[in-house]
Amino acid sequence: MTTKDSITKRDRAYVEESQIETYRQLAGIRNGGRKSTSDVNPAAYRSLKDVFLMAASIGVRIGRRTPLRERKELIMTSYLNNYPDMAVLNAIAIADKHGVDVLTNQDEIITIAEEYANTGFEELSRRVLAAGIPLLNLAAYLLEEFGGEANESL
Amino acid sequence: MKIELMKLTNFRQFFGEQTVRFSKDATRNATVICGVNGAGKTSLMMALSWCLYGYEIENIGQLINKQALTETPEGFSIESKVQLVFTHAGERYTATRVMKADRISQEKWKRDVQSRLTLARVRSDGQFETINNPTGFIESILPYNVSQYFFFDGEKIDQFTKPGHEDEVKSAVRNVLKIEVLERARTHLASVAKEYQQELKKKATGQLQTLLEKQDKLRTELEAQRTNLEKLRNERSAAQRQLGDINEQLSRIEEIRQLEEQRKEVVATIKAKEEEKDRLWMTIRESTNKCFVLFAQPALEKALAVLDEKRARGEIPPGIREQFVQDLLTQERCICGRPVTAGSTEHDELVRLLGKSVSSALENSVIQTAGDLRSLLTGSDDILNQVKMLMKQKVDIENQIESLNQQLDEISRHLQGFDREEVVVLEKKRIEWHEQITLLAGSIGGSEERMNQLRKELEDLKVEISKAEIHEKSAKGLQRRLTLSSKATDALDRMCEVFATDMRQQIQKEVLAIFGKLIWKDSQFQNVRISNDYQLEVFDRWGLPARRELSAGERQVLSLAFITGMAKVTEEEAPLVMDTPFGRLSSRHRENITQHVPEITKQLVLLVTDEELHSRARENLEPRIGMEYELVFDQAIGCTTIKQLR
Repeated sequence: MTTKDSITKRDRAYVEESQIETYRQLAGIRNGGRKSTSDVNPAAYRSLKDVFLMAASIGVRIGRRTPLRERKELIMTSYLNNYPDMAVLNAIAIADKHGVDVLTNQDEIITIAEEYANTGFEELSRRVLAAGIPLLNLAAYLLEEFGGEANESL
Repeated sequence: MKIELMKLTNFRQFFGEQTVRFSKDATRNATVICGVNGAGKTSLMMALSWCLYGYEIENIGQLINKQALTETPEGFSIESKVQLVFTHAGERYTATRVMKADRISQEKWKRDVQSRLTLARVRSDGQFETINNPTGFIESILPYNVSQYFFFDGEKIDQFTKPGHEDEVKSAVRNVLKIEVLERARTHLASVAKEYQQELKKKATGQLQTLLEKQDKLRTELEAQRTNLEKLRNERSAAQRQLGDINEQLSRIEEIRQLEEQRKEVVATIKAKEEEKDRLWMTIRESTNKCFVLFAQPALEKALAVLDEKRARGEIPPGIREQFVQDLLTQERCICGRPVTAGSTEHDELVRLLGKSVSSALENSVIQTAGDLRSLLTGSDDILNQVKMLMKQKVDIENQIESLNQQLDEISRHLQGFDREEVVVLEKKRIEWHEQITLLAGSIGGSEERMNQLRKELEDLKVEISKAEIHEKSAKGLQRRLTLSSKATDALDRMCEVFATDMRQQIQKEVLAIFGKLIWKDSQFQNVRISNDYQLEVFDRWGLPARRELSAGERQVLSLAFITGMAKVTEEEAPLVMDTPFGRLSSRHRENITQHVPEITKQLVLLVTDEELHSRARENLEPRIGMEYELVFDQAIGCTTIKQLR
């Protein structure tokens, strides 16, 4: 039971089961949970959390939520820090719900983020895992979207 | 293990009974035994090894004292014996090894087929208990293949650092850290898993059989890849050694010295730039990962607008706090002091106000979120500018590396057209070996990648196999055992890898610390490393490999640092016994060693000539000497007497 003063918590964030391997690939996680330690071509993302936040943000830009069908646990929500991670997810939830009451319901905040991430993930993986070095593809994608033309020598 | 005393009876040049007592003191932990060349220092070392392990000496003439042999009448027998008293894990032991020989005639002897070892645990009251299997017991305290790193000939220890002796380093680390034990366990488990697999294939039918056959095929390929990878790594090590040799030959040619120096500098600069680029990758990733905020900007702006609207309407923060209204209702008193009774208009109004109020949790969240959003929106330009700047830096570094590589090509072209055939030939060979190493690196990468793919496929297949129907009850049991042994094999695999890496790094750290203390030119060397394939390398102040340039004495010091570093990391406790350790070393090195080595080991035994230990070296060691002996060789009888000096 939740009271006016309490906040509904959620301890895990989920994604589509079919996306898990690609999430791990983007974060450079190999079999047995071993992280790739290559400095020559480091993975595009430092952690699964970072992939999730980017996917959710791209989904917000696209402007559509896609509910999960077969969900699989991706991360513990304790990995999300207050700033900027939860600040952005809170903002996404407020914008989606046109109201602030959602801030006392972390379960709903995370659900909203999961569904935006589900939308944004396809675009994210298509751009970053295209031919070439994933981290460079990510930088080029960002500069293209926000910073004018991508630098050709990338 | 701590040795207390060693008693020799007719052992090699030691006639009759002679005893050496070793210092057991914690501070004065060094025992010094001085003797000229041929006086018997090495024989004492051999006595220690022979007593414990029975190796080293085959020829009877080398073992039993010749004077004793001569004095033995026909029909009588003579014994050569070494007794060693030592402590281990709080218990005292006496090990006795004996070789007997019977004199049959003037020239003919009949000796024991092999020496006999007895081992007894001795109590303080003199009672003793004979240990069964003394050889196995001693092996468990200090294995023979590990003892070589504690009892060593100072003149031969530079083998670890001689070019072409990388296997010695690998062997030493694996023996001392018992990595082979883990690997044997892993191999055994893998073969057990394979046996279960074969049995299961016989029992299973249909889909499961197909899956098991596929699994078999993948495992076989994985093993083949593992073997191939090992082979490729060995080839790469050999190629790197060849390249090192050629670089050294080139650097010795006077006419091209300047060009070679220039090449070295350019190589060092490229390395530094590549390291800078590696660090830059990490920073680029940090920055790009933060850019999710940019995609979410429309949502941030909309959310902030909602929050500002709430604030403009006075809803948050609220004009009247929830707790204040709650308190009025509880006290049943208005803010002006008048009573407010339940059911009255005033009471209903207060309840209505309470319903409209915002909880404190929500209020706090809103205020915090509003502040965060303002901050995020202001800083969003900075995030992108940072990415742009870092990408530009990356391009700059790449251009610099490109330019430096062109310089290297130019130097190489110059050498290939040089007016001396030896230079041209060497340069061409250098290029070939360099290319070979590059190709091997590619093959190694490919093999590692294929192994990762195979491991992934096997993981997926495991899931399918476990889902497949298994009808026979025995197949289920076999499946469980197969799964268990496979998991155990994988776990041991990972454990071996992690353990070997961890231990190698620990040894490396200790070796670096000790080398820094022992070498007199410590400012000229910045690092010591043991690579993944167990190459022991020292790096000069410019960060370049310098092992090949070390003098014989410096190699000896490096080897000593390696051995003592390993001794620190290993769980084995044993005395450090060094035979003629200072022969090729300059006085500075001797001083450093005599100052620092007693600190590294609990018990030190030095077998030295008087020339080795004098002046400052002797002064440094003086406060640590607990016992001192001199080996006095009697020319008349050709035998040595051990004379105690203190």
